[in-house]
Amino acid sequence: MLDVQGLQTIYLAGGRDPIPAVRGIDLHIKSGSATALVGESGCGKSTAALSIMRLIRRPLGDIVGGSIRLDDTELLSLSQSAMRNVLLNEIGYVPQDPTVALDPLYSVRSQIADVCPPASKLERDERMVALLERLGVIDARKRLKSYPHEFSGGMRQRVAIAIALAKDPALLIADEPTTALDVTTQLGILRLLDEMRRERDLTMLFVTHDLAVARLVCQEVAVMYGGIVVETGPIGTIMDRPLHPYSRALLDADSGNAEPQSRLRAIPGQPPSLTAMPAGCPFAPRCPLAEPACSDAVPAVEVHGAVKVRCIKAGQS
Amino acid sequence: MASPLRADRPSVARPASGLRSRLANRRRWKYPYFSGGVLALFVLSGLIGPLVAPAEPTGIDLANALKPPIGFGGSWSRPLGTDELGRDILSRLLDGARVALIVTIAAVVLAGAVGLAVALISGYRGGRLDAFLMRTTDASMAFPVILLAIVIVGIFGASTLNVVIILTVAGWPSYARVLRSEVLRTKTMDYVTMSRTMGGNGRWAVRRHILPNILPTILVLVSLQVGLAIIAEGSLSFLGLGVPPPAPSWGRMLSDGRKYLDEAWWLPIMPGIALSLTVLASNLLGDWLRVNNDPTTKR
Repeated sequence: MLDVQGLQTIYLAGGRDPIPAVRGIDLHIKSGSATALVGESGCGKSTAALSIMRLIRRPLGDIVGGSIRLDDTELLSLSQSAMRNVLLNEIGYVPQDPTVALDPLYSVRSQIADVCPPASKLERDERMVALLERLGVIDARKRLKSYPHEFSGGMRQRVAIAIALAKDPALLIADEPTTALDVTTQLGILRLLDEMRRERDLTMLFVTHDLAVARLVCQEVAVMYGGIVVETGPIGTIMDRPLHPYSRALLDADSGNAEPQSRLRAIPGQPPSLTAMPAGCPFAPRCPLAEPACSDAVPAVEVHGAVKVRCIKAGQS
Repeated sequence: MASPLRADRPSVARPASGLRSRLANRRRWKYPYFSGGVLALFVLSGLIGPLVAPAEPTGIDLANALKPPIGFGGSWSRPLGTDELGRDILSRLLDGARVALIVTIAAVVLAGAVGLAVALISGYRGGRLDAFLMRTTDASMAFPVILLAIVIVGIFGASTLNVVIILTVAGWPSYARVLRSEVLRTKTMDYVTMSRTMGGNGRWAVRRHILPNILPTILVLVSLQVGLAIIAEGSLSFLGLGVPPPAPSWGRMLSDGRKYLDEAWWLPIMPGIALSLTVLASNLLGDWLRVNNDPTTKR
């Protein structure tokens, strides 16, 4: 179980004012289920993922508020070395671009071995082979000796997933794991992640900008905009009936949902700059429903059944 | 047989001919024969030179002063001629190689170690420490080497150790600069971030990922700096700020010999050739290393 409450992360920029990138987000992921963190570039979704691993640190930035509980451990109160232990044993991370996520100088065996629990060399190799084969790497025993450049993109991502899973983690954080892959490979990797979650009862945080991709692997979704979660709930419910104007705009902007022959509805304007965040709802300047009250304060959370939404005009159109 | 598809096109690959094409194809040379050979000779001379030298490098023989080399009326007992005091030039060159080798290796290793340490700290830690270290590097780079040499030699006198110190102080900033940028480039690589997500700390990232990945650059830099160090050592000796006599140094042989350029050209020319060849070889080797060991030019 991962429980994030009011997480706030800032980036520090020299002598200037700190830049708020994550402005108090709540996430609750049950053990064995997957939640998607969806939003545009720069909305803070990757920062949130990195914050959960406490990798945003001075001098780059800092986590300035909130709580992150993994099972029964409060991650934010751990010492550096205790946190490293959690990262080594409990949290697996699948990177966005597998072509640069593996060190070109080391064989696959050597890179997986870095995170393997201690065991005899033989036993460790057996486990690696079993894991890689489960992840669809053909001829895994021979491939252990290979170097990253000898693998294709999809295979490299499988190796990266093997690195994430070799420690048998409780939480898997995948940061746009299929964005750098071609479409045919994407589906295979997504299926694999879904299977792994079921088999190993993984708690999974899936960061993506693509709601359609999220639907394939996640049960819940949290839509982020301007550093806050604007809508969260079961992914089917939200995709069928989005309450927040931004969620709706995001769905409308997906070509897969558009009427054939119709113009694609892009969201006008640009996401707010992190340095000049509007005072109220961050989406107000681009929102078709915006009214003066929207700019007064960040809207409070409204509960609509299983869905929580931050909008004073939730569900209206 | 000519393929029908190719019939209307001129052949792209022209036949290789002579030196020009060899130079053009230098990137594809498999082994650095010339530079490797010259440098091997240099190192060998430094190691066993005195054993094979035909005469005592400091042995004065005024009766045989200013004898020309073989081919210009000289004899085999003094293959490269003798200087104004009748000392055998070949023996002096061989002995000078030892001086140059010791000074160069010491200076390159020390300057490299200091520069690498600064680069790793500066590049990896970043922040204010980085700014401080880089401004220090700038200041050291801006400080004229010759002035530094005069000050150090003026205070402590000329000695081999002081030459090494001067070359180290003058040499570390270039390592720091180049390697820092390499550290910066490498540390943003996803595999370094990945090692953090696996619970690795900074020291682990540096040892496991950053250092091995900048090693090719270190090698290239070292081989180029060897050339610079040899020249710098020669220049210091030329100015009388280097290795003190009677130990023969190529720079001082050049400097002393230039007075005899019109009557005995071999005095300055021989050490000049030795110096130029060694520096050229070390630069060519650096070039070869860069092209052949740099993953970015290979993959």
